[in-house]
Amino acid sequence: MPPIVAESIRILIAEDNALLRGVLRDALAEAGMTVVAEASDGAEAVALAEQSTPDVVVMDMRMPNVDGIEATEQIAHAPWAMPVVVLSAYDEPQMIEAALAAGAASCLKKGVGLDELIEAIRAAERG
Amino acid sequence: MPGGGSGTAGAAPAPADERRALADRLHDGPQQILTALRLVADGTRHALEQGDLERALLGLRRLEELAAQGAGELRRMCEDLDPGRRQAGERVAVLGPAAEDEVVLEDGTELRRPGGTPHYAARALAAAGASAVAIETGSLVSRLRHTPQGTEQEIASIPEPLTPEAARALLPQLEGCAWVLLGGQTAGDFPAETVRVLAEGGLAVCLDGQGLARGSQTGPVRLGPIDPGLLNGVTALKLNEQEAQAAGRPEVPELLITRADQGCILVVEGEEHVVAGNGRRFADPTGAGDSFAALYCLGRTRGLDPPAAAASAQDGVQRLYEA
Repeated sequence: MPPIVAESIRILIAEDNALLRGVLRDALAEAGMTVVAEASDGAEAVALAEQSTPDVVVMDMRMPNVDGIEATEQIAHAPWAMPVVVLSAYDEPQMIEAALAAGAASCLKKGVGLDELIEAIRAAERG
Repeated sequence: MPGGGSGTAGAAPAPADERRALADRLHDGPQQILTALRLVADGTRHALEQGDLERALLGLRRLEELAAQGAGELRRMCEDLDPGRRQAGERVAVLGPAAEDEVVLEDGTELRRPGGTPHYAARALAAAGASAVAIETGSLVSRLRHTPQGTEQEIASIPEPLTPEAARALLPQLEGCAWVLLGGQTAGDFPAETVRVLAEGGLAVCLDGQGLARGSQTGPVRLGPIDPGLLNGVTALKLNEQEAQAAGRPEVPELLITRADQGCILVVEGEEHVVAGNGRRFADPTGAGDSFAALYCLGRTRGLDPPAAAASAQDGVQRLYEA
């Protein structure tokens, strides 16, 4: 199991489901990370990423307005780019490939364990 | 809903559309809840491994809530797919913004957790063997500090109002409910026209008047008079003692004034009924008013008259909050 307490990586959570957003916030905070901003759609995620300059963005794939793939592409190719870990409810390889092609550091399936999520965030932050 | 290009006007939705809609509901409901369950379970295991029993206990409570929420969501989906499963008279509609509550208990314990009327009402109804059609109509952040003298509250953000059009669109989902509980947090959450739409949709409206008494501003809650124009179409209005002191006793068919462990006062057609409480303090009263209102609606749905419904609600809340 990876260490439970991670160094204070600054996180932006982009997730349209308020329940899951809250759970992610609490789980990452308890793991020693700092949630600096939360977005409920892709457009908000891009704006907040530029504004709050997190170390890593945790991005839901399916969101209203601008979806997670497009938001990932905008963040990953911006002058102020930062790594994006995508959470996907989809199992299809083409969706995962689309996330990676958009510039995601990794793409995890929803239902992922906390340890694996923390490790993916840390790996993304390390580059 | 589009007919996939093969239907005529008025035709049933194409199977592909229905499957897509079902997939969307599975994604937005059970899948998100199961994802949350896994993360909270892992966090709870970490807490146990670290010997942090307090955090582990909070995690277990959260798991229980999520499991109940997931079961409720699946039950609603099953009922929607096969309306014959729906138990008439056992469902209460609950609308209101979801709250992110930052709570300080009397003993200084600080908690951050989901709240709002849909959350607490659904829990109370489930404990009473009924179910809620709980729909979150917006969101806000609320800070509560419980003291021996009462609760101090601060509203950090104003939730989105439920527009009449949105309320009209919700009516099919509320089918089978006789009562709807509106859990307003601020005065603008349920405009007068929205209440009218719901009442004309055949629902008896129970309004938590806390929002009306608070007004529509952020910052520390300051209670004031209630605009009677916002009560047209309301069958039952619930206030707590402080809200009733600030707002007076607005004229509605059924007025409920809650007094926590001291019981409640019900005013029906000018006649006052007092329901006694047992005086045992609630360790954490957050959501007690929402639970009371939901159980009152359940009692009325089950055919109880107002005094019996109020007594039943008081009893249910005490069992929930003394535990």
